[in-house]
Amino acid sequence: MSTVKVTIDGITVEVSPDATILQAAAKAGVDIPYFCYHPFLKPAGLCRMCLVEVEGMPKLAPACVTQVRDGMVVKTNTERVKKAREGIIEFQLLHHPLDCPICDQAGECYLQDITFRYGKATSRFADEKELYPTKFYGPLIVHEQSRCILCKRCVRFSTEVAGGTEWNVYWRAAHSIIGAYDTDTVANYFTANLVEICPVGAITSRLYRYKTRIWKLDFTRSVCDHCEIGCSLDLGVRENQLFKIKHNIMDPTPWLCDKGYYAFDYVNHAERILFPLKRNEKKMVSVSSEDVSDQIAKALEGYKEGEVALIVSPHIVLEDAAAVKSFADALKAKVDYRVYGEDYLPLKTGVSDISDVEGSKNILILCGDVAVSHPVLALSVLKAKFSGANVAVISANDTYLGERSNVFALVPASKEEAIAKDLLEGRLNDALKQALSESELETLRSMLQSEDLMVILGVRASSALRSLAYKISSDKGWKLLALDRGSNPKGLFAMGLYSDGVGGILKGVVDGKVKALLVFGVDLFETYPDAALVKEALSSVEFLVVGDLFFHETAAYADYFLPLVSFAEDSGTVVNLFWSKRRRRRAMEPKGESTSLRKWLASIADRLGVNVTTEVEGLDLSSVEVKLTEGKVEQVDGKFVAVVEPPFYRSAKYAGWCSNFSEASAEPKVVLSIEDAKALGVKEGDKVVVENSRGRFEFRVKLREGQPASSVVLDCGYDRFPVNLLLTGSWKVAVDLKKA
Amino acid sequence: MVGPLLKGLKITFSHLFKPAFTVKYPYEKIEVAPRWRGKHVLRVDEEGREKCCYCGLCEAVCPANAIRIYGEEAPLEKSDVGKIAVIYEIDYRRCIFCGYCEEACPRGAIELTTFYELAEPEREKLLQTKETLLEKR
Ligand code: SF4
Ligand code: SF4
Ligand code: SF4
Ligand code: SF4
Ligand code: FES
Repeated sequence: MSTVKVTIDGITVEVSPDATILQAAAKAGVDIPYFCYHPFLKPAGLCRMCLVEVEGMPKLAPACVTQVRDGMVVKTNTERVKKAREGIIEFQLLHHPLDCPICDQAGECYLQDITFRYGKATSRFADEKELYPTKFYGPLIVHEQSRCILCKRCVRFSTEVAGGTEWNVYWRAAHSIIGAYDTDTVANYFTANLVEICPVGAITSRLYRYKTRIWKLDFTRSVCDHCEIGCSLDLGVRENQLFKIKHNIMDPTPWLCDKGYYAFDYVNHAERILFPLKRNEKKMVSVSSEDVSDQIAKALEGYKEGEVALIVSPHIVLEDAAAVKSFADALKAKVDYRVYGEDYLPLKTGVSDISDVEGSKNILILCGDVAVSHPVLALSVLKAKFSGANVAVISANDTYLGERSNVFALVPASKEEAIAKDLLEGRLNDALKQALSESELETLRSMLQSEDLMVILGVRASSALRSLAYKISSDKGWKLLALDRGSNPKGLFAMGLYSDGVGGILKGVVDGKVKALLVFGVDLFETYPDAALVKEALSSVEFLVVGDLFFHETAAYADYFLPLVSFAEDSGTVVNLFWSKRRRRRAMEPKGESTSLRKWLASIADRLGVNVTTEVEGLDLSSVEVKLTEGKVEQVDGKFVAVVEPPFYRSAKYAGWCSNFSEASAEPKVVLSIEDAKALGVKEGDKVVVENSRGRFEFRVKLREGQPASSVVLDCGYDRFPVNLLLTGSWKVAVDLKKA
Repeated sequence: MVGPLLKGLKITFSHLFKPAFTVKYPYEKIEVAPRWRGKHVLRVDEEGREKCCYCGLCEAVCPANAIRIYGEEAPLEKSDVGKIAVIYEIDYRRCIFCGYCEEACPRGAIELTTFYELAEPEREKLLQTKETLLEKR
């Protein structure tokens, strides 16, 4: 590619002809101050902070939107530029409240830094400043218009990247106001980015509000613990408390989601158990770390081969997984990580980077809300869409990408899998035809004909569908991305931490084959889609050890409780969605006597006279083989078929202990079709009872146009609201609805 | 030999008839200069609201690292700007009474007073918290 030569302050650099002066200056190492420019948003030229002098141009030029020319000579150190900068800053500060002492952005504020470097200490403005009220948008963000410099970075993110229109500019010119017009909650999964890209303190996080100052925090670069994408995060710690999370590099994308940004205060939660506990009749009493290992080892010695089983969370790091594996092998114990009742195993496919998604021409998303399970991936899908790709979403529940895609079919829960199966085999099912218009069907047909198609299988897709998609996509040369739950499922699979599923282990307990159970890092009552089975298994098991951060319902059945560390207190390796290893780093010391799972297992194994390893260097991901599991395409029948899904703000790990985060979804809802609501005699906001032979719950009604009749969507993930009781091993179930 | 000895004694005896330099502390106390740098006080405004808004400047400037603060949101009855320090500690085991904190404070919230009787029987008590630092009205 041809390049052009540009001289900036006497330094000549070669850049591509579509570069801007600002990009050329960055290459030359010349600092040009800016507010509205953002490397991953389209240039807007709004703030005029970047004015520079270009030889041959009569007026000063904004560097962020001026394209370079060959032989261009740019000066940034002249008197004229200096004066212009001082003027712009004086303008920016005219109505600025200058409240840095209370502002959470102070210390990392562009306006503060630029004023300090390029501004004048005085202002000629003598009138009263025009100030605006502060507005809180739900439990996550707060917008202070007085501090806003109208750079529109936040608005450009919302429209260009997240594909929404709610966050925007209202009114005009000097009276412009940024925000959401008609609502006082903004919880669109990606508000974190608004906080991160606002160059001043106009949008700040409510979670961090006023707690400490940024320069008191020590940042450690680690990896997010909420999903498989594994966004790189900087964890800000002061005095062994985690206060703030930042994301300031493009790894793997320039954006992150609200789970990664806000759902971390469980780490500091006062309810965390920091000492080992043991059961004494009905009560749990504390016990020393040495004694607890001794006693657990002694108890385990009494069990024969096959009588012990382990269940671990899909969030544990590889080092822990290696320890679990060697421990289980030594005890000849079964082990599994599929705590959400998955019947499938991770599929290794050719997609090796998020840029493969962004570069696809056609994307077909089946069975699940990508934005809830893998949020940042949804932004990459949108990026593909904005550059011309066709995106089709087929789902039984309303999804984030649905309303932003070219084709969105809201299909009946009972037929979701069958429709997906037919579609992959090239047939457009009748139920699908009902849900789509003729032009949408046409687009869908052309997508299926194309060679350049990426199929993304959501977390709900069963093993049968996965196997089918794998075979068809390798035949047709499609790309396939199969999503899993948890943040390290691929790693745990590669380590061999699977047997016949968590359901199999629990049934083994009920049958009396498994007598001792060790459960680490998970509350099965919350995750497993059959709370009755969990209850039966846990109350009948002879010996139960639970390790976790909190004393949850599963722990209430335990004989011993081991305090584990959170992701911020431990280092380790995880395998991301694209099968590459990522490193988590320890940002703080373990609290109390909590320690990592591998250390607990090592100390127990020591007393049993067996060895555990934490060696993971040998794990070769390139040789992982695809294991297609067989199974039937799921079919549920009933008067009403419900699909149970956590809303975004309940889907994070330990969401129940992240109060600000989970407050954003306040109440469990049931999504109903308009016909069904009429037949039941209920309106939006009324209560309905959802029941089957196993349980009965009250939900608030939400109507959705286009929702197929007799198909409903139930929220789960709320505290003391165990919707899992209705389920029988799958996240879809037949229920009955009544007016409350 | 005896000469220097007598000279010394003369000076000693002459001081017997001059006024004393020392005071009988604690029965008598010295007047200190108004700009004396003694114990800190956290000022409140006319309505009794805390002035400190946890900007963190005193904490950042303190050369002895003697100040430790955490902030929180507060209702307007407690702070005119809606933000106060929830923890404010000065560790007198560390403070060198340089007065930089007072100089750095943008709100006149922290001042060093003329109070200098800071001795405590136990070292821990030298860690003073908001309760003892806040101005009483
Ligand atoms: S709120 Fe922040 S990002 Fe948005 S326009 Fe104002 S200053 Fe820019
Ligand atoms: S997309 Fe996934 S890894 Fe990234 S911040 Fe969100 S939850 Fe964390
Ligand atoms: S007087 Fe000096 S040493 Fe003492 S607290 Fe203030 S800044 Fe720190
Ligand atoms: S400098 Fe003043 S306002 Fe700022 S934290 Fe210290 S006492 Fe409070
Ligand atoms: S950065 Fe160029 S106009 Fe804002």
